[in-house]
Amino acid sequence: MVDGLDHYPFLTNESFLDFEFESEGPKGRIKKVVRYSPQNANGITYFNLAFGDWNEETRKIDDSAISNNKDRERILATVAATVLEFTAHFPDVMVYSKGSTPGRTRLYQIVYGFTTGEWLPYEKNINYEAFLTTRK
Amino acid sequence: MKKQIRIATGTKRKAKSHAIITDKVKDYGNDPYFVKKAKESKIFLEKHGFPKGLALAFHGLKNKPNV
Repeated sequence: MVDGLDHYPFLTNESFLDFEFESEGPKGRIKKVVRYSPQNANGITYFNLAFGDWNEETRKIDDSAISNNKDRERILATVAATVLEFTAHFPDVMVYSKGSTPGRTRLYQIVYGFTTGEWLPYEKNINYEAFLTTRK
Repeated sequence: MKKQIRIATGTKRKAKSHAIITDKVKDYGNDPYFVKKAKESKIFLEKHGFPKGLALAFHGLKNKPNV
């Protein structure tokens, strides 16, 4: 359980960069993949967090999938759980993610959100373009 | 009290895992979607930079971590 929210069980491999779990809802079971990609910008290394739906036909992540499986909170809780798992193995790194919500922010020691052209400490009820977090 | 500055090493540590570890989970590093997202993040961060506090703590690692 993460921050009071139940999450899906998830799988990973020995690299701890790739995670899989299954969303369950009215649309059935949908395989989700979370990936932490190492990157470097301005001489600083960070990991880009991204996740999406696996398309079994194309054998690729489906960029346009809107699964709407009525379990958004549980999916976000699961992604947050993978952040904890990932940073347990890579404790001294930054995780970058793009999106309007950082998920369960209380899990992280530092959360910066990018809004109106600058990075600011995270506050509730503000829409952000992107986030940078580190482990508690 | 002196504030401890953490340096990003990117070094993998052994930790108790709450995930099911299996080689059935493939390496998605070359998936076009994740490649695109990682490139977009790099463009974004090179344009806008990092938060000052984090940049100070994490600066110094010039190369990608050995994962």
